Amino acid sequence: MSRLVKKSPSVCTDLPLNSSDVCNKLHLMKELLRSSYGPTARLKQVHNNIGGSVVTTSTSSVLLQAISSSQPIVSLIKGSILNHVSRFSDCGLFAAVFCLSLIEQAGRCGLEKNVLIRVNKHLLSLCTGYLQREDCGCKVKLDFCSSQSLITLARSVISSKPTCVLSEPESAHISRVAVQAFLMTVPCNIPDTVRLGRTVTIPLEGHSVLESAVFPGLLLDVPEKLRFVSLCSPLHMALFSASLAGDLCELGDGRIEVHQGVDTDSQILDQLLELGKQVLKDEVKLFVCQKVIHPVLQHYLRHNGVIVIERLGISLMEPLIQLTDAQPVATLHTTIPPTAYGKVHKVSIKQFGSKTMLHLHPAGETAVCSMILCHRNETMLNELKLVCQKTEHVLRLTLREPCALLGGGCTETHLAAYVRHQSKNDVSESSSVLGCSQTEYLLAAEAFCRSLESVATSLEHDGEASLIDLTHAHHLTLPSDVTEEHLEGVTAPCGCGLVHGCQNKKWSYLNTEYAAFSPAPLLTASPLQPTVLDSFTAKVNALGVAVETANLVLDVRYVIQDVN
Amino acid sequence: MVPLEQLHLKHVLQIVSALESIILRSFGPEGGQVLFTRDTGQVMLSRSGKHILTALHLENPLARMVVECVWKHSTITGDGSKTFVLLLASLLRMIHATATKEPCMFQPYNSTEAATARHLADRLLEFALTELDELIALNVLPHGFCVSLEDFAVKTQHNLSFQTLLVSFFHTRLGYVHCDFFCNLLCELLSHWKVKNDGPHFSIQFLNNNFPALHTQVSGFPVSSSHLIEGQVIHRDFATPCPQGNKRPFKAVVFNGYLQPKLLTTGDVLKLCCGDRVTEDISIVHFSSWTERSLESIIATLQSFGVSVLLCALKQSSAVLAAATQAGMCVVECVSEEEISLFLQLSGVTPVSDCWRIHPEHIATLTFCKSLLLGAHR
Repeated sequence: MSRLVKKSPSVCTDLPLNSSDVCNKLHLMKELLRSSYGPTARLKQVHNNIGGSVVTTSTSSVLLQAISSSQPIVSLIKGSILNHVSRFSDCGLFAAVFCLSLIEQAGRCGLEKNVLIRVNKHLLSLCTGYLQREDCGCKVKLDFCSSQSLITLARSVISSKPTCVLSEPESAHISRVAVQAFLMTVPCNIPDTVRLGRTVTIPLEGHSVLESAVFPGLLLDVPEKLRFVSLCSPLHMALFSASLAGDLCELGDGRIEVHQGVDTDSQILDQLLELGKQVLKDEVKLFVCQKVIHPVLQHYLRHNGVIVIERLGISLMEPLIQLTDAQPVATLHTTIPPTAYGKVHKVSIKQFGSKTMLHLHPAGETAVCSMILCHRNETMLNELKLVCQKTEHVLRLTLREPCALLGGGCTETHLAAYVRHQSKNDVSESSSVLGCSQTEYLLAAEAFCRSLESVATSLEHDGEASLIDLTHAHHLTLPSDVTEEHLEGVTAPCGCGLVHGCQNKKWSYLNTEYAAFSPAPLLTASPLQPTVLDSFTAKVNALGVAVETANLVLDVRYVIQDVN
Repeated sequence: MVPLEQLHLKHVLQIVSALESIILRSFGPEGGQVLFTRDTGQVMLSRSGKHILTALHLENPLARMVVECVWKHSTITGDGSKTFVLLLASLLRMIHATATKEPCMFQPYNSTEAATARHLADRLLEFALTELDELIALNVLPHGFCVSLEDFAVKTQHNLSFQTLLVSFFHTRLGYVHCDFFCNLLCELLSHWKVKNDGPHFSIQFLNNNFPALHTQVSGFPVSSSHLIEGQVIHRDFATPCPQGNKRPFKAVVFNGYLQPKLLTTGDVLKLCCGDRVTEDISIVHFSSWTERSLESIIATLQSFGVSVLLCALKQSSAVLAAATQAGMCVVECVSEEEISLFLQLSGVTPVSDCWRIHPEHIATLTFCKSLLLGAHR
């Protein structure tokens, strides 16, 4: 029963960023997201008090959707990051932590908000300009002739989600499988418009991860009783998108009065059997329907040696059409034209544990493949499925921009060093263009760099210290009990694996002052390959989204909340 | 009995000052934005005075009256609502200050103050109606200048152009970072829509009326990715595969109803009788086959006209989609009303409401027709 309640007036807040309540909430959100960032992150379990499924995750898309706040600024940031993730599916946590750090640093440095907004925008264009340059020190060109870099990229994405609980050989296997599936969906012969194929993912619970595999063609669920006669090419396939269950739903909503002696069911069944006879005459061996098939028709067709598959579902219709070039038939009464039949090269049965599946091999080159994903329990399997979808999306993005950025926090420290150096050099001209004083410009640039570095430091969660290399500006984490004298003898690699050892290089702790320097690019003759890579397009866009959202939040001076 | 409340001048001043404090922070080029959330959970940001004030739920009838005046003012002028409220607040403050300075007589305090205030207000109104125009003409106008609407893309030397006006307007609405970009975008849009023979007022009016159908919101990209696209964008994907052939021009037909007619509506009754030897058995199968055959004939008529694109306002059944795919035509369903009306306006055809009669006047010619990927949607 609904009650009529008088509408209460709106709640107004003046200058929300000055209120401690809002600042506390933003700080809390930042700590929450910081602790879920990176491969050593802490997992989060999301409960709903009313009921519903319990989700364990560290993915930004799931976490952010689970956070609901009454504070409109938090919803604004959340909406903006979710939009980015839905478009690029990676670097969501990076964008969120960077954005919140920018807002926090802005509160600390005490500059006027308008000045900060302008300087942030200027520094963002500086960063994106540097990243788009050919000689950028943190960019790695992806070589499509060898699969090594693609596998490294896939592995970085997969290992950044610790919920999947994958051991070393398992994550290597899954990244190989993911890259294989991606390469299968890229068509070989290029027609006018290149259209990428699809990977259909089939999850299987209870098996070891190493049993995951990719197959070209489609895998379909089959009913138990399948008298399998070995069939060979070329096989014709009839695909129906209308319901063959014997109900005529297109007639409308009116009433039908049936007089005694007229049997509508048998009339409809006769029509269906006519259809079956025509199909048999055309030597169709595979009969597939999106909806339900009448059991008498099924029995009739099976009796005559046709494999019948019903209840395919709408999600599998599109890949099946792409695989076999069939045209789905939606009418029951017209004769089926021979061009509407699809072609399948071979049909075989595959067994996965207790599940039996029918494998359809394509007639020619096709871009449709099926991936079987196995894992020990449901939670890890769901996360693995999400991660594989993300990996596919990230690999597809590399088709447009064949480069990647160094991972492990090295890109962030590199960019921070570059921005510090550049801002010291062009202080006078930038401050006159932006209409602020030189000190203000330097303070704002310092806040920007500190936010970037705090994102890099949030990668380590076990109480280790972060350092920066003073020659190439790479990021390194060391246990915090290492003292100054031992710094020279350290040989651990940096976050991305390219810079080793401390012998000839100088290092400094990340949250102390160091002299601004121009980060030198690494020698191209280095035999080392980076072991952690990040997607270029996703990260550049994440950078842009974070700065623009931070600017938007800094620009908000008044909040009106409707509490009805 | 409705409770009565006497309205003192200071209460009036309090109410208007409350409204003033809301919009104060977003006034001027250095002003910030106001964030407001609706009860649907939707979050909006704005600097526009009209949006901010109309989004408030106000209980006080006087405040509601003031907001209504602001809204009416803004509907006519389009701008200046914050200025309105600020001027109103400062006028009331001055009147209140002057009225309370008058020495108080033997009459009760309230009525003298109210009477003086009223008297002052009347005199100000008289001044505004009679003498203000001359003052403006003498002292203010020489500092202003005329803006010509003829050429949108020109920036003259002294910066006295249409673009300067747009830039300042966008500065107060969108902030420093985006104003230049949007000014350029809008000028480009206006220059593309210029109709040769009519004045610029026609194109601006047309754009104003049809703006919802002329723009698409794409989320997930930075602001600087906004740009103009040639042609009309219909915000629905093709329900059937797009024609790959290169035959141009494409012919399109707009449908207002269903292609496959629904035979029975609620209230109709279909009687099936058992026939005797003389007449045939009428089976229910015949009815459904009749609908399919009628669909086939419609598609055949369309094919004979060479039509390859069908724009429909309603959702069609899967039989229609399958038949259209087989005939090589592409179908777009559930196109919104505004887009259909814009399409009809631009191409000059009439929609087909009865599928049996398709005549040449229903057929429009298109130069190109392809699917477009915007963000994550086609």
